[in-house]
Amino acid sequence: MIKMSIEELDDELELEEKERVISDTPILRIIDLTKKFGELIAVNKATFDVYQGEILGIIGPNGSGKTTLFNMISGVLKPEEGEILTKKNENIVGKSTTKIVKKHKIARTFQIVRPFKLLQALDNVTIPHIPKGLQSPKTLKTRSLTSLLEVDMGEKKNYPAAILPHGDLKRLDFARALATDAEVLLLDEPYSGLSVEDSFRITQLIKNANQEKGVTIMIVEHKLKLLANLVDRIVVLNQGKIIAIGTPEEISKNQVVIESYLGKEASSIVSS
Amino acid sequence: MSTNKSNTTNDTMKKIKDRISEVNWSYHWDRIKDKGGYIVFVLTFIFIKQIPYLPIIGNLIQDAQNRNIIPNIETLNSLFIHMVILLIFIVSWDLLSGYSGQVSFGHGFFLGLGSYFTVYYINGLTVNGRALFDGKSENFINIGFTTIDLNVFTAILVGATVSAIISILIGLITLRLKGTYFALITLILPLIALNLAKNLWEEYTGGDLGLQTRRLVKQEDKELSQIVWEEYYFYLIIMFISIGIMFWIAKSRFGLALQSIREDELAAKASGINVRLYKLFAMGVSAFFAGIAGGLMVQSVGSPIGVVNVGAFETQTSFTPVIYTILGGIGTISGPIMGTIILTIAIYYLALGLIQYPMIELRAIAIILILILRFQPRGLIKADKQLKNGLYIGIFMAILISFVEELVNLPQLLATWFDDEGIFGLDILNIKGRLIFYFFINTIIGYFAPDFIRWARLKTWGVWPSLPDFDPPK
Repeated sequence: MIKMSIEELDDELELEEKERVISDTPILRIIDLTKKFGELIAVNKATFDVYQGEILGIIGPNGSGKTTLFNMISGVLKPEEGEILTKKNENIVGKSTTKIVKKHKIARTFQIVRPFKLLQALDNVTIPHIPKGLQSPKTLKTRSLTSLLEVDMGEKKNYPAAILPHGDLKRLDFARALATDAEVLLLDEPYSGLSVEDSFRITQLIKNANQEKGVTIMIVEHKLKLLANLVDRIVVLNQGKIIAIGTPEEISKNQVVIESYLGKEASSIVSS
Repeated sequence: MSTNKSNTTNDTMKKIKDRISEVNWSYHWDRIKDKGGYIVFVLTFIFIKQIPYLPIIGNLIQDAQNRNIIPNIETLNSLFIHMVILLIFIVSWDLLSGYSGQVSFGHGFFLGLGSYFTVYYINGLTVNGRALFDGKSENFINIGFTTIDLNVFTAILVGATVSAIISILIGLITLRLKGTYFALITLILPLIALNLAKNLWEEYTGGDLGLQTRRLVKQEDKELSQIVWEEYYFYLIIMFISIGIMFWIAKSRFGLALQSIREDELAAKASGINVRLYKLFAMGVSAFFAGIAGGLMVQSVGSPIGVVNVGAFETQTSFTPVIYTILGGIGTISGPIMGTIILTIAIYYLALGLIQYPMIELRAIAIILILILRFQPRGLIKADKQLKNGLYIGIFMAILISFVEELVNLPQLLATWFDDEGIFGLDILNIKGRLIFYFFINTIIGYFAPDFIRWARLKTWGVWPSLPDFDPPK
């Protein structure tokens, strides 16, 4: 028998936190991006850089243009103005979603989960592996099983997505986006409708993807509280305009941000 | 200590190896049982000619044929040729509409294109006095069990290819449309084609009378009864190859990609699936096999010449696959196969059993379809166990009763109970009418019997078998 004290076991199990490398070169550069729905300006001249290897949070009140921004980056909507430049200085504005995913390696999840309902969980994560060139059926199955096991869904691989609970669907959606071999991952409200436990699992998945695969991650979320310990920087949107960019601590003390959330009178009470 | 330990590990390893080397028969039996439907389907289609001469079942089948319960061998032949060609057509529709979700209401258009271009390739086509391409002369080759005209066979492939190319061209224009709008465009296509073929281009299409052409199988030197079977087996080979390819596509990663497009197009795009390309692929493959069915349909009239007319562009042709597939189960390959077999046989019996009201069998099918859509929207292949059992009991008891009915004078009794007009138009003096009657009664009994027996047992006996007292483990 191997004898080991509990302390030694703890040392053994303690995961070494890898040093995260955030390079200075931006992987995405968003310049003067504007989207109008008729008279309404949903996103107004948004300009910011996303650096390789970082976790970037995007927050803002309802209707501030967070999801519209994601839709424009992932090619679902076409912006009126502005440019989105990748690492190789290619403008991806106006390109199709398929091309953005396959060639420029920018994948996304959806605010409301969109699983392939009648397909089994395993088939759901097989689909992003299909367009990756020639591969034997065995390789395809191994790859998709690996993707499914990464999000702890192994025991539910034969369940049709229609009967899975919401928490599982959120993780399935995450696995599907990750399976595209993305370099940039756009997570649209990954915590919406989740319990505390499920939220914790999603946080772990995001950290794993970022640390072990070096995926750059952008998260849209309403709640600053959930992002505080996760993200490196936060972009705050209000009515389509970027009002602040900074670390979570800076953002939580920023007067403009507090005003945009609480209104002027209440914010004066908070700051005093 | 260590030797003892290694011994035990060796023993366990040996046990595990024995377990692995054992053939797991129950696993293999389950796999065979899962594929039982396919095996029965393939065997029936191959051995349909020999079934009356099999050792044990043969006598029963011959007896049934003498009693007119089962059609005689010539009728079976024409019924099965019809079925084989329909199967290619209907499965091809399901690949496009059931798998990729692009519901097409105009699949008859591709069938008609296949038919016409097959005939044009054989006969040649002359427009405004200029020959676009010449006709092809006879070129017989012997392929073992029969002699076929190779040029006619090539013509079928050419017709199918033209059909596929035209479908892809249409797809390039229409695939930006989704759902209902795509369905509407496809609904219009055969109507336009029908109008053009009947009025504007009548000299090229032959209008209602149609064009005549050569047959695929050599007609001389042999009796007709032999030729029809040679034709049947050649069509059967084409059907197995066609459905095999479509089955493989549906089960492979291409089928999975098509299903993902059906489930959620945006999510499929976000997973890197090239939606446009896959849709065009599905449309091309589907139209190709519809074209092959069209080419064979030219040949299947049972006369020494092949005939093509504008019937393929009629709305009824385009709605055939929709009805047959929904009845069988949309979005599967076995569903449309089952639907086609059941409906072809059902239409045959209904047409003969309801002989007083001509063409009423289509209305009867319409009522069945409404009931299926209301109560079993996933089709018969995925129907409730209770309904399936009811249908099995209905078929089995109908055949059984029709064998023994004369022992108890049931036909005469039924004739005295009901008027000569029969029940709901069913011709009770005809064995086919009686079969349908027995089938309906027994299906209803078979459906409700388990519930009734359970109810009666609970009222009279109580729970059975009565369980012994159960002590929970301490």
